[in-house]
Amino acid sequence: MSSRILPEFELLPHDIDEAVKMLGLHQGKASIMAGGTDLLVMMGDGFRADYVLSLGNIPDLAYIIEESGKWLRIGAMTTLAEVAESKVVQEKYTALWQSAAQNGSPQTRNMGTVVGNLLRASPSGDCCCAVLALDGWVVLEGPQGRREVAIDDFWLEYRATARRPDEIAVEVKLPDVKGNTTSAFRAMTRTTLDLAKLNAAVRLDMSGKQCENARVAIGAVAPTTIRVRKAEELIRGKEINEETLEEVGKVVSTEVSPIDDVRSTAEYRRTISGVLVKRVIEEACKGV
Amino acid sequence: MQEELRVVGKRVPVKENFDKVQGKADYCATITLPGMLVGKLLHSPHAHARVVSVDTSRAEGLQGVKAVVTKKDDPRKIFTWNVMTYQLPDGEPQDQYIFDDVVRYVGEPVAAVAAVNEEIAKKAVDLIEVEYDVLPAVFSVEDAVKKGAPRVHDTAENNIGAPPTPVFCYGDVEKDFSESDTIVEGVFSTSKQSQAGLENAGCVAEWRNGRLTVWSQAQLPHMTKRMIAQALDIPESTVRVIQPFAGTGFGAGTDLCPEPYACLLTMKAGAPVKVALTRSEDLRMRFTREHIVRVEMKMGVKKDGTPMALKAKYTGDAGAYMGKILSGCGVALASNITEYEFKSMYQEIEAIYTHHLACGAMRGFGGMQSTFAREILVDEVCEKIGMNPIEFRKKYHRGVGGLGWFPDTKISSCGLDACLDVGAERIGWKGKWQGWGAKKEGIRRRGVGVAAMGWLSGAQPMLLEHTNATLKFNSDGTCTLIGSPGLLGQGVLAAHCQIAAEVLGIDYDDVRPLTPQDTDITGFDIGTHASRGCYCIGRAVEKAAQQARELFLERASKKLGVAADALDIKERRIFCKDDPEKGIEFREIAQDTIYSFGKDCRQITVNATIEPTEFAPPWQAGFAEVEVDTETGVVEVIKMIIAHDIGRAINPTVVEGQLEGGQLQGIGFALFEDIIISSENGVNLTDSFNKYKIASMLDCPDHEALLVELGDPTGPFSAKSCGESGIFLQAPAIANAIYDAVGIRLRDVPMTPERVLAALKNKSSTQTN
Repeated sequence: MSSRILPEFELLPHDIDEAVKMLGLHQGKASIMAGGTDLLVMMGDGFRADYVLSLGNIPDLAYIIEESGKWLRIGAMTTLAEVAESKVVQEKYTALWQSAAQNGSPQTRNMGTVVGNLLRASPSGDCCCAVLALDGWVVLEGPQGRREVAIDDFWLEYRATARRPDEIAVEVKLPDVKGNTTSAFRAMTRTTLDLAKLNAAVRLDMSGKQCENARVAIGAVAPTTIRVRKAEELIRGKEINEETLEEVGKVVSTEVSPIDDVRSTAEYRRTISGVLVKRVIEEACKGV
Repeated sequence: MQEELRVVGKRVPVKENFDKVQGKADYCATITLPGMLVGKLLHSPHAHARVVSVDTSRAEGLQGVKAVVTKKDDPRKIFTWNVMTYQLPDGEPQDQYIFDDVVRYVGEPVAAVAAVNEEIAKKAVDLIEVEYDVLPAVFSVEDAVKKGAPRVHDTAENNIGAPPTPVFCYGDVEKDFSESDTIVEGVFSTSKQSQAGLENAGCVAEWRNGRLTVWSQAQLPHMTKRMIAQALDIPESTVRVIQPFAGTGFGAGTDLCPEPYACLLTMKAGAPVKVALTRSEDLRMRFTREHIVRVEMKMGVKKDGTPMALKAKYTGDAGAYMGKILSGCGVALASNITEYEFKSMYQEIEAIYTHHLACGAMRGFGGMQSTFAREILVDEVCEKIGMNPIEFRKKYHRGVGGLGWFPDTKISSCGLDACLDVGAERIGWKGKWQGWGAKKEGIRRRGVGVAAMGWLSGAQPMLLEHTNATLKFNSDGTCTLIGSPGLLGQGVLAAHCQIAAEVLGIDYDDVRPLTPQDTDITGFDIGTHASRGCYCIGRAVEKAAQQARELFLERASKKLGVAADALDIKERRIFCKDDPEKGIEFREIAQDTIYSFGKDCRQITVNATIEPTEFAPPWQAGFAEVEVDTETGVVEVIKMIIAHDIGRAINPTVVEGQLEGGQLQGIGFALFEDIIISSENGVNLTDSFNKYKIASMLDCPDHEALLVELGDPTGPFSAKSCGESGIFLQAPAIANAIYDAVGIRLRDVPMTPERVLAALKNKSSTQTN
């Protein structure tokens, strides 16, 4: 006997238009399920959705498309495992690749999706961290058609996103990266299979030893995954060496507002945030 | 030395595993009976409240609900979930009711429902209306003893369950401390670990024709039967406990959990009821590790290391009921006696009620906590006197004839020296340990540490460890082994079958263990706890097999016309020792016992009773190599070696499996497993496996379990125990290795990165000042 979690699926749209209509009908009462690795856990913990809309019957939502010189597009039903198996992602978007490959367990990677990870808007989401560093965009489709939201504007607060109740997130896009761009991701966990107590990702656009531009993201230290702009400013236009890294380490801890929970303490997160960012930058530099 | 053994010592497969790996084994979770109902519990959301009223009318009105039980249905017999209370003449304290007027921890059941399916049962639970008078609560032993603190039980003044009580003391510690050259001391704290079984707590109960049958995960089925009868106020013979395979254990089955509620429900509903807890419920209400929340220990030695005096106090956070906290603290104390030859010892235990979940038992019961404190202090002492920590342990551990855990018990064998030698060799101690105060550089620093311990093979003679084993022979020369160790996956049935086959001169395949186990069939047995399964029950099996062997030889002697003592049995054949050609197949004799046409039928069924008296300590040395990241406090275990003095491994694969499983639980205890209870409201914040982390295979470091087999004169085929032993030495060996790496002494488990980093910070600020 097992505790039954799965609901009756009343909402099984066959295309995006139908899905958007269904969402419009049930204004805010429907939960969207892609892989279900977050939703089912929430339901196991007692969350009851009035309706669950499954994306399972909508064809062609699982893809990784590289539009050379423009975007890398990842569909809403593309699983973490598929991302982890992608050579393009591994070589060009290393931070995302690492965040997918280390995410959860083989079982959850086979079900869970990158887009789902972003929509969950958990401050400790591994892919959130990587997509924020990689300057991604979330593509939403609603009654008024398509719109794109920069990841910087996507998370409004703890577990809240810019997606409207009648919109479906259909894909995430990452701007194309050139040969001099490098990225890395790293999470700290209690055991190998655990949610991050702290995670960080960076994207560095390098010119020789000099960093032309940087995006630094850190998770589990604020209500949403955040960028550490002061750290970005510190390295922008500079050579990345021990000295700059030392400064970055110091500034990160002043930019975070972590809390105590079962995974760690606020004090530890604050102390280590700089170390983690420093190490992720070092790792990204190795990839140049 | 004994003649060559044919079955004992061989790596034969555990028979029940064939069913298990094919998904064919039955567990409480899989058992389904005709007309079975689903039971659900209503838990208190409050840590402390008076239950003013429970209105079940709406729940009872829901279609599909067959019974709702509350305190009105409770026969109000005082009892305890701790069925081990029966192993002591005066018992352990009993202070529970199935449903009480007061709830004393978050999660305590207030009512239960049986319905035709889970959805309806859940709905019905939600429809029960409880009026609580919420009372103030206490969540630490420190707060609980303060003046004016809320009382957990009216009868326990200042919440003292047991005041500080000295036990098994000897010598004059104050005098010996004054004559010591070096004294070290510390206050240690340990966490409350969960058994975290794969199968959540669950049972099925069926009341039919005046009998109550309970399918339970009990490790101690016969005492479980007695306790259920006591709680329900029905004759013991009314109750029958059947034990299918349990997907859990590690001590979890030494306490009741859902059984009383399932029993009340089936008695009211008149249909079988299954109560299977969710993981969250399991973590919130199943009794788990004895919570010895504080260990204060002090030891004094001479310049050359000669152990002089040891003083210790063990404080138990009992939680809401006394459960096993007293025996847990008692074992911490008793197990601490045996390791080193201190001239004097003074140790006391105390237990304090709080509004936490009460304590059960978990693998390494009590010894985990005292071993952690003692082995760290030994390391400190060695540093102060400039002695190699391996040398100290070899020189000053107790040996054969030395003082055991309990007064008047003696050590029957000790292979610790060999364990220390083989373990040191395997970890590469000589190259890796660079002496006290060796300078280490870099962000990541490595260190090695050692720890040692002696455990037991059953808690005799302190506790009743009465065991029966029965062998019933079939006409084809095979037999059924009828015992009652509890089927918690420990693999001990393989050892029992090997022992019987070896004694009888038949094959391993010829001995079939009874599964599931059933108290209507099996003779009395305490069951499995205190690492007793192989040693205690094994001795009963050995004795039964010897008796059966005599009966077979007697019968063969008549057939062959040769005196019984001139006969031997090997490879299923009975033959004359002097003339091996002359003999008869074992099977033929077996057939003759059943299909005898000479008016001589007598099926051979023998039962043997054992009340062991020796406690036969297994010894162990543990070695850890760690790498500490000084920037993050992360401790990586590079290698973990345990060398275990098993006496003789009846089945080395099973022994290694036990020890390796213990390694993972020991690493979890050492580094990350921690049940966190809110100090504001008593809620368990770690009631799922994404919050309460246990080790997976991916967290398993390079590790080895090495067996030292020097024999024990009292054990079956010289065997001692290994059930609990795998789990003890990770925490102290890792703590000592961390010290070797970065020079910090940790006093608290789990040794999380947060604690390591804080200690490193503390150290560097002390040095700067």
